[in-house]
Amino acid sequence: MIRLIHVEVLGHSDAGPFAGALSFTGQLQIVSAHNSYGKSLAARAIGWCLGLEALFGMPPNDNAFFPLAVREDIDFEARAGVSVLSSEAVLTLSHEDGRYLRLTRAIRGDATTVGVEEIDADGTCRESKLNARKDAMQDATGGLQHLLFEWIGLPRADVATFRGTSVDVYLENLSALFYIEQDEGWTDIQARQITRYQQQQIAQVAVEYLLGATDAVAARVAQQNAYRREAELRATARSLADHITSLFARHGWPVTWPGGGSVADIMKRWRTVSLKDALLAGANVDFGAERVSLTQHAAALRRALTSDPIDPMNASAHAEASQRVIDLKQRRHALSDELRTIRLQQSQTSDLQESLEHRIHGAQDVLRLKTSGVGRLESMECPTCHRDLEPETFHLTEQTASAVSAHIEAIKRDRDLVRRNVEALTQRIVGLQAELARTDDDFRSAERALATVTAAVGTVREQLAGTAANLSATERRLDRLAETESDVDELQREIQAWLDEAAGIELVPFETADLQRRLGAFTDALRQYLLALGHSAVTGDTAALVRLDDQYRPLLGTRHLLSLGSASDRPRVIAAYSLALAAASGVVGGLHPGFVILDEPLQQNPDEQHRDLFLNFLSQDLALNAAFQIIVLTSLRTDEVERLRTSGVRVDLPVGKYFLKLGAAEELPNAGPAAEKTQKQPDAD
Amino acid sequence: MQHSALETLAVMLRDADAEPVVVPERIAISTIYDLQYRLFIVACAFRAHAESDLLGTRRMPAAKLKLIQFVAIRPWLLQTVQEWAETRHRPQFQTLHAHTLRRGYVGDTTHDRVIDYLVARDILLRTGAHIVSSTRFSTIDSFATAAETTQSFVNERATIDELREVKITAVMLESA
Repeated sequence: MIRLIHVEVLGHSDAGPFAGALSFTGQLQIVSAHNSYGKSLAARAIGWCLGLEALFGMPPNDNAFFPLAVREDIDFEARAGVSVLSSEAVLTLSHEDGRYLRLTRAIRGDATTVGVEEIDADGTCRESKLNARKDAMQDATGGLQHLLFEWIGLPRADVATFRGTSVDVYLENLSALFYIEQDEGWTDIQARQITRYQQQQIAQVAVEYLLGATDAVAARVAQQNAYRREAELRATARSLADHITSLFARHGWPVTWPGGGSVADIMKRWRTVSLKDALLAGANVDFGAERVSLTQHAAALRRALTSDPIDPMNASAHAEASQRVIDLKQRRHALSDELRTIRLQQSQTSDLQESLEHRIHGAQDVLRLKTSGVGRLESMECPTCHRDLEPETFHLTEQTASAVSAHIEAIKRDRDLVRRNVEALTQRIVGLQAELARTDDDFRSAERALATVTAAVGTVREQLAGTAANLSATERRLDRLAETESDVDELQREIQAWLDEAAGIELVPFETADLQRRLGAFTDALRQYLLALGHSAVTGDTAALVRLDDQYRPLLGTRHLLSLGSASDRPRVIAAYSLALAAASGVVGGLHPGFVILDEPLQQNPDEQHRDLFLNFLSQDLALNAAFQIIVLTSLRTDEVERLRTSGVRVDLPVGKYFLKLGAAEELPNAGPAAEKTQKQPDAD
Repeated sequence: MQHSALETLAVMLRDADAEPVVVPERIAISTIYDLQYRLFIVACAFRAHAESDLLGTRRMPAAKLKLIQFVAIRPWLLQTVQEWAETRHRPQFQTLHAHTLRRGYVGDTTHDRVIDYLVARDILLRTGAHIVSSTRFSTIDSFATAAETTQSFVNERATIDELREVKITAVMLESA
């Protein structure tokens, strides 16, 4: 655990050096000063030295969240509007093992680096300059985040991002749970959680990490990666299946190769049947048998061409070649006709689908207006016959909402049916186009063969020319068959590669026992703090109903605690949540750094009862003897200060009108003994 | 009526050795026969196409309203109407074009009943071949406003707007 010891803002102005400092000595320390004193400046200086500007929505190294007083012009008690020449923040931390760390970062000046002094328990000091933001975690020698994690003793943890990569958990992710700043920190639990790194479930990861459930964090990340990999595999399977179905359609094979469903379903399906099995069963396509048949045919033609005797009386070669041309021409014509008809059907079916889409939109609008009561005519009496002018009198009907719903469901079914028809027609068109292209090719070959046979002189030459043309066509078919089989084999290999990859995915079992123990301690502490802070919905009777949901948001029974009670109960929930997390982390040996900063907890709801409840909490044992450091920056009345001091609470009342005063840092009245102690440490070196 | 037609069809199928399953209670009537839907469409069409006179009375030809609302409910017919309108320079083609469309909108008796209903409620008036806004016209006009503010019937309203660019001739309306 670490403690905040001292924070200081100092610099030079036109009027000379200036400084302001706060020291933190007790476990519970209230710093009370009037509004505009500069308490939040001190609180922000803490975040600045720790490289937490992202917590305030700032880009790296941007000091814009500091008041102008430390950036441009400064008002001192004696003199206003003094120009700031330079300024810096200094934060001193102590470790429970006796080490100290002093971080110095320029506010006006070069903010990209942080001066670091590591002071060992024996007084040895090591000084370095580290990058405040650039590669702050990745750079093991030059990054501030890396040093802070190492110095505090926090292990690094990966978290999955929406981009499919992994990044570290940063201090700025964790600090949303122990640094409640006044602008937005009180609006929600982890209101200042950083989301710009696209870390998945970072809010849950931050809670688990601070409770020390690093195994749960690792399991969560492994699961997220497995889910992402599964989604990628599903997408790959769909794409592969589309490719296969499209290939089948091009060859006119009425076989679909489904690629939908879960990875397990797809694996089961694709393992059971191979592409060639599916083609044999669905389209009677047998590559082996076809190849044997064509090879035998080619061998017979080759024999006829080279060695078999030729009958000089056989004059049928020309007629055969001619008939083949005629057959192919008729086939081409029939295919063209069919293609034209199917295209027309597809166009009309697409129009029908469009009209159904339109009907669905219109009917949904009608339903919405009916259910919301918009567009109704009041009942009216006929001025002549004094009867009600009912729509039924005019043979008109007003449908009920349920009738319209039924109609919408019916046309949705029609639309789905029509959509499937369009898909089937599209596939048929692809098949027909491919078949037409093949027929065209065969037709041109047959025409060339006919020309050759016609040009041949004598029946023997005619037969030889015809046989040669047939042999050439058969060999082309063999080539095409080999090419297609090769395509199918290649796709089968892709399927096998997909199956191998899918088999490698395993969902990491989420070990819950340890996590549940830690969350149990957190929930117990949360109940205690909610009761102590006086949440209006949580009483002795209902406290047992307080629990955490799967995103670690507090519930009372089934309702979200943040939406219960009065407006002033919201900051109570946020304070209780932050404090309970620190307390539970101490109980279960977690990784909480050991301090909680509550900046202006009373400013959000300054009503008397809220103030009274909060002061009451501070006076209780739970706050007074917390095992971690609680720093509260606020503005109390004199009677409230007296009340707290009577209860034994340390309340610091910084002197002067403003936090920043003219003069050197060592002359400051608020420096305190802790500051002196740590400032002397380097001298001992 | 629809049920008996279905029953007739079922008998014919049975005669052909089929086994039809007819469950009339599961038949859902299309919303294009719903009065409320028709009122919205008439309101939008009237707002977009009716012209105002000096006294603020709005009027438009009854046949034009009938054609516009018919196409608005069936936006896929818009192209047919546009092509039909283009034939005005070639009268010999006019009777050849869009005879199914013409037959469809002329036979739209639901629209006639809706107009009768609105006339009876003193929302619209019939003056010769025109439909004119009447005392309670604001009632139906508020329907058009509601459709716009709730972003309802987007396709229908877009079609009504596009029909403003189409020159609808007297010849096109003569059979209505």
